[in-house]
Amino acid sequence: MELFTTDFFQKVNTLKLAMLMRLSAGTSGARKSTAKGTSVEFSDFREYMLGDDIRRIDWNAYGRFDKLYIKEFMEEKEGLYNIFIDTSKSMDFGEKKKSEMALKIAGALSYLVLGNLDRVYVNELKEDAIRIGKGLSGRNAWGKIAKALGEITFDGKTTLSSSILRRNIKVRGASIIISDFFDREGIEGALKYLAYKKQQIVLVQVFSREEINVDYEGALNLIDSEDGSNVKLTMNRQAVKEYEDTLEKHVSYMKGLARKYQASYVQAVSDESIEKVLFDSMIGAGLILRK
Amino acid sequence: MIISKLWPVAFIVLVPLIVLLYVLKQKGKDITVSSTYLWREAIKNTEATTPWEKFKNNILMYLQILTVLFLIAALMAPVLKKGGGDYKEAVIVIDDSASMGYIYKDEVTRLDEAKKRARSYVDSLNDNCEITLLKTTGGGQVVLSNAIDKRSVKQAIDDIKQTALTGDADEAAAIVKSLASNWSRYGVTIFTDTPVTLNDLTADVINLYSEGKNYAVEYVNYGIKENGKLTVLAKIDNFASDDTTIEVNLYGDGQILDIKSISVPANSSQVVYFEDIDFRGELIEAEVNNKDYLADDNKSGCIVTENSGKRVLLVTAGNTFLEKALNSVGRLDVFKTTDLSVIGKNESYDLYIFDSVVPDEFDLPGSVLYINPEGAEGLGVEGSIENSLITFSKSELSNYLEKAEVGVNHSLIFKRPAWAMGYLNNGDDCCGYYGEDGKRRIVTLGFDIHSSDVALKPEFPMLIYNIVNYTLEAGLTDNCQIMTGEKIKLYSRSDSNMSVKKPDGKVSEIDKGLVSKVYTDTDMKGVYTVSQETEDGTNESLVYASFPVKEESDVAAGESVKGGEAGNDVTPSGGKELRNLFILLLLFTVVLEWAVYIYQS
Repeated sequence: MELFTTDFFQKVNTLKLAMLMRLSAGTSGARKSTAKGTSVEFSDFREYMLGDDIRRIDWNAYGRFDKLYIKEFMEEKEGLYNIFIDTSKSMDFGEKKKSEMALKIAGALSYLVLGNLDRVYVNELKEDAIRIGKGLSGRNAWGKIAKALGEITFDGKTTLSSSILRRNIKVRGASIIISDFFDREGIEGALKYLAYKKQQIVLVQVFSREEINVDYEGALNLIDSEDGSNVKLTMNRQAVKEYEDTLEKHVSYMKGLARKYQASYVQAVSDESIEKVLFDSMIGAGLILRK
Repeated sequence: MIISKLWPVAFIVLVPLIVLLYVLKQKGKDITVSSTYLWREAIKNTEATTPWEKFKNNILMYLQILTVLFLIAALMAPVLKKGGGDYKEAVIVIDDSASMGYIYKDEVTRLDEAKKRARSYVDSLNDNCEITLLKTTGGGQVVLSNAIDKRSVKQAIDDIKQTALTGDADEAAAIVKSLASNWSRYGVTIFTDTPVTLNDLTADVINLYSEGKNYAVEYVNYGIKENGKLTVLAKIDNFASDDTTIEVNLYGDGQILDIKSISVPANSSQVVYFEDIDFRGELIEAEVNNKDYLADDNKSGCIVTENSGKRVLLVTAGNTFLEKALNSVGRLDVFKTTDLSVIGKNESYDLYIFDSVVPDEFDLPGSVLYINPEGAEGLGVEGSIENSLITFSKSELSNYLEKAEVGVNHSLIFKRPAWAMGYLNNGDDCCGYYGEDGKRRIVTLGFDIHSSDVALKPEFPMLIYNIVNYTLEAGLTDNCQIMTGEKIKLYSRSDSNMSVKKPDGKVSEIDKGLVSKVYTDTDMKGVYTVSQETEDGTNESLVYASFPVKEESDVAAGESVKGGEAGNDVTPSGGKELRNLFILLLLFTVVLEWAVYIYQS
């Protein structure tokens, strides 16, 4: 199935990523950095200190104040984006599969990152391991990203925290986790780690329509697609209500975690259009901006 | 609480079965979901931790168990004891006497009210209770005995009709007492309007006495004047507590003859006279027009009997005493002869008196008095006594003579025929009898009047009067005026069957073969017509049965008794059946179960 169509690109081209933090590490790029550098963009004045490059003395200021001032300029760095995709079997569920939506979101965000001359890593989370993608930047790299996304398979089970902890992040940046977060181990360990690594965190929780609107009845034996474990229950009004309450609590918990680690939370349903997710949910959350 | 049936307890096995069905849950349909993560969390929440939650989670099971328990309870037909009213045997006595026709309330008579309450009482009895139903008239009659089917008991109650008979519940209570002597757990309920003497009988008395004005015609009689016109008198009773002007209508054979008003003081009587009534019919009735609470006693009447003189042939050698006594009877045409050979040659007579003579052969219509029938055959003469005292035994012929004694020099002794009754005795010997041999009335007197002191006794004319009255009453009945409940004695005048028509038109055939022809079904007031076909055509006699005003028109008020204590108005009950209640609860739980099921799914 064609994930990324012309229509998709036309819509994504109207958007740009918002990276609120200042970067201080990484290679030079198109993004303002807290580091003073050699770009043409003026940043500040300060008095000359021994060891400063005398070429950066502002002689006009010296003439006016009779003191030596150094003119500082902004250093422009590239943004680093880590996209973590949960590739467990539970993502491969639904009439409209959650995995498709996850890949579309990852593709859209990657495209935006590349368009912003930033670097993106698409990481696959599988079992308790991680398959770190190549760091790619520049529009030309889109082909590789699309290929990599197309090759991702969804099976087995994933322990999100353990997997993410295996990603050694050295510089500030943004980490986007796309998952259904049906993880008994929890995600907090990963969030703690990413926050420590000064990451702007985005949690994208993907549900299928069947998970939101339960339409089962009678005596059922629910089998877990990941580990084959089962749950026996009689599906009645009470059971459905309990499930809905539990789902609501789970979402609230995720939102609570997001608040705690100053992360953004976005919810997507697999049968929704990518436009809706991008324009409504992500713009609403302030993650991406219209150009 | 009493349990009527125990076998439904067997259904209790359904309870563990239901529990088992819930424990062994239905095998579920396999459905693959993305993750059971949320479902496990959800189930954790539904798992009961508090007793209330446990109850709520299994509410359907509890409702089903409750349904089974209610079903069992309903099948067991429990009866809630109420005032010791759970009886194995129950007796219901309903007073059907004339006074029960009194209005109790809103045009409903006391009897109607009694029947209504009795039916409700039957409903309140448990299903296994054996019910006996009695009515009070006729000395207490058992209508239904040991019946279990409530429907038939209620039908029998409905079938009890208002009578014009006298009666109270005392005799019925005595019968019940003897019935109940073998019972242990029984209840007796008496519905009446008069006080009841229970004599140690434990019974509830539902007294339905009610206040209300009542006027009655106690009796009607007449006299015939020389000109053949009648003077009719009617006794009018005012049982109300205020003086009342009462309007009285006089009817002759159903046609109005006269109307009179009479002022009758409270709680007293007045006789109203209707003079010079030109009436040649048979039935005279007087009726009170004023509206009152007991309608049945507002009318009474009498039968006007034949007025022409009777013909009597006296065959005697000479008997002045007898002739004088016959003259004193009045309105008799007495013919005298000494010649037996003239009998039957010219004219017939209503009564033949053979004084010390006996015809060789006698086969004429008409009654016969044999005086001293010495040497007669076929009259049962079997000997004689000398110089003895003869006494009167109680009979129709010995009215007012019971204490008289007659001294005789010589008297015949009779062997009394089966159809006859003795009225003169010397010890065990019969010196005179009377009766009807199928063709005529026959009276015998065993001694010659001249050889006794009977003619000297003041009772002699009365004896002759009684004999003549008896022998000349040649109708089909012995009396034309009775009170309701009294017997009508029937006399056959031919070989054909007799019939009696009641005031309501119901006709009863009297079998000619019956030895004792007595009609007893006189529970209604009014005219009873006795008929028989004879060679001369249909022979009819009318008998008027009057309402027993003295006994029934103004009965004494009594008190209701419940559980041995007197009260004004008590409602009988034999316990409360709980079956319907349990059926309602059963239906309720089924509906509730359905609602819970719908809600949960």
